[in-house]
Amino acid sequence: MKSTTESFGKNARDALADRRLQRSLPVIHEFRRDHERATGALPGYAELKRIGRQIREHSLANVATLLTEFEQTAEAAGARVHWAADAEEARRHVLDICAARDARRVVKAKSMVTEEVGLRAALQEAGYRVWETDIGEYVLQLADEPPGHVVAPALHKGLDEIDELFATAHGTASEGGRSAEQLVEEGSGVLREQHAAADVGITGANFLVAETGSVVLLTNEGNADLATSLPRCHIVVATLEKVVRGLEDASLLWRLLSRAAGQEVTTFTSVLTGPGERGESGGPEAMHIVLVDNGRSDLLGGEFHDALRCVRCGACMDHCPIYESIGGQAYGWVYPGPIGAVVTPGLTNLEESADLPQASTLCGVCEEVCPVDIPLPSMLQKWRRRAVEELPQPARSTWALALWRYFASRPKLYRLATSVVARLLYLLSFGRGTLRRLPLLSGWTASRDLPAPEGQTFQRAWRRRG
Amino acid sequence: MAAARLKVASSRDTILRNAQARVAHLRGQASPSQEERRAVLSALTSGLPSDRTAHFVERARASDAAVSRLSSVSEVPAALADLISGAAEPTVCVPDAGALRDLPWAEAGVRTARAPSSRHDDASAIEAAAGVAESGSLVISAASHDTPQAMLLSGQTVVVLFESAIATTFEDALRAVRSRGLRSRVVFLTGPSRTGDIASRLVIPAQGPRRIHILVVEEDGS
Repeated sequence: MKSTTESFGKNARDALADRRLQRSLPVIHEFRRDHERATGALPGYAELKRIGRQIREHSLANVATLLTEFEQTAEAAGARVHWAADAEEARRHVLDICAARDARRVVKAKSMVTEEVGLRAALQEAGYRVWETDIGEYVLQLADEPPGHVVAPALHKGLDEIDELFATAHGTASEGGRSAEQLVEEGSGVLREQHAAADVGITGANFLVAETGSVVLLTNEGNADLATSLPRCHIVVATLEKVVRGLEDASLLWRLLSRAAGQEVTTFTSVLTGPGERGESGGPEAMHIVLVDNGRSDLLGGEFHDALRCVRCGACMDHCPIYESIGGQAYGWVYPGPIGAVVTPGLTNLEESADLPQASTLCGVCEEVCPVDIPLPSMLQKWRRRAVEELPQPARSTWALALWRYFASRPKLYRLATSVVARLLYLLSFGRGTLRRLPLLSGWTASRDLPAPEGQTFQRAWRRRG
Repeated sequence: MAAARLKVASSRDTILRNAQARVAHLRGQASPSQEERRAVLSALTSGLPSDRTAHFVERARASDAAVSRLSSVSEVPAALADLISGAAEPTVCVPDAGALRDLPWAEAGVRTARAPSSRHDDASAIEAAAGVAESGSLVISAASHDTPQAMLLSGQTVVVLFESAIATTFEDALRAVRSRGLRSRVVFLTGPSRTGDIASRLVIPAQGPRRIHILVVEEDGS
């Protein structure tokens, strides 16, 4: 997927000015309530979180052994496992499989890694007809946009926009005003035909089970199960950190994942082991599993190892004040929100995505709601530190820090300077307590007032207190 | 082709070698013990009432499935005939080679087929391998794609669940299903399909199943 992380500042400004987007984003308040309801209603949720984290830690610590075991058990069950070091190799595996099967039409369920490796575009370039079958992803395919959320990809799209997109794509005469139910009915009808006609169904995976060679998928719409039940070939594209040891690890984690995403349990929790036997209406006779690294093994064991515990529930973005303000697409790559700001520099490069870790108030709610306790704020700080250490800094901040260092290493001068500045800012505020404009700080004062000092420094006030 | 195979082999080895080396210092990480798992499951189910069937029915209804209770499996064809009685020339897809297929459907006036149809008036009848009381989920376990296809494509999915097959937790249900050999498709199905993707409004059904009616049979099906 093409990255626009380098222009994050512009993306964010555009998002703030986008009225349709701003009308849609408050829906994440409902996601927060769903999360609270689903997690709060479960006795033992805290214990479940603790054990879920332990399972993920154990899985990552033994990832090579578990992947080797998964390869053996999945192949014993009749699947074929392929390894992809990077996005190009992942695309090539899928293209080779489709070509070998003489496929023409491909249906694809929602999968973040397929977005990451740019799979749909590669298939389309090679001449395949590709349909995104998750209704939200289908909307985005019609709109030619990337997803804005890991669970609800089209949350930024309003009813009227979707109505227009469907009317244009399906040739349906709409005067607008169709309900969500009508649009789902129409979209499902179109996608049902595509499932029946497809040669290949592509899905991601929520978990890979080493003990049994199973792929576990958590979904709601039924499209992923249609994609794994009707076309002659099923291709799973999964990242390597999804592997867990046994089905009983997976079952504890799927409870956590669905609860953290705001649902007691997803409609479908499908455990797929091998291709299965073809039925009256067809179905897979082949199952291929493409295991994608694409930078993850380099994150293992290092400063950002814990981010690989992520189960993609979306809770961190649902609770993030920055995400709430700008939505997901402004982040500029596949994974938005706090987890995106942590994994994007690790999976792409820090130089182009250094602004993402800055897009956080470090309020800490993301870590609190994370079902596997990923220390997101401290990881964001680590990226900030690395950006300062490794990347050239803007002249203005270098100059400002040098000035601060000069004063801070001379206590008497520092006290004098701060008392003068505090007094000056107090006078400039004319007793209002805030400053509306200030030279050199327009970046702050353009969108909010700056609290003014009370006229003296803290040190001085403390001394006077005796 | 040989070069491609070599590249594939080298990617596998490179990934595994890299992963192995980077987590070498974490290898002592312990997996949760059986006692810890039991303690968590006990905490998770601590609020569940002792009547497992009643709780399953309550949770299944909360997931927007309809539930009826029958005393014997022989009542299934008549119950299904009632469910489709208002439909125009309905057909019921009965994919299983097992007990449901041998029921006296014709006597109840129910026309059956092997392949599912997506006509809204048509139905399918499948048997659940287990039920999960904690969530109201049905466990559909199959070796062939006939059963998932019937489950997904029919206008109405009717699922027969023997009361004796209702387990308390996902783990209990998994154990029961695996004791008969893990089949290629094990689907925990909780209510009809749904989506929140259109303007974040919950819509039921989405792509399939459209409607679910569970027939809980008191008689032991084993």
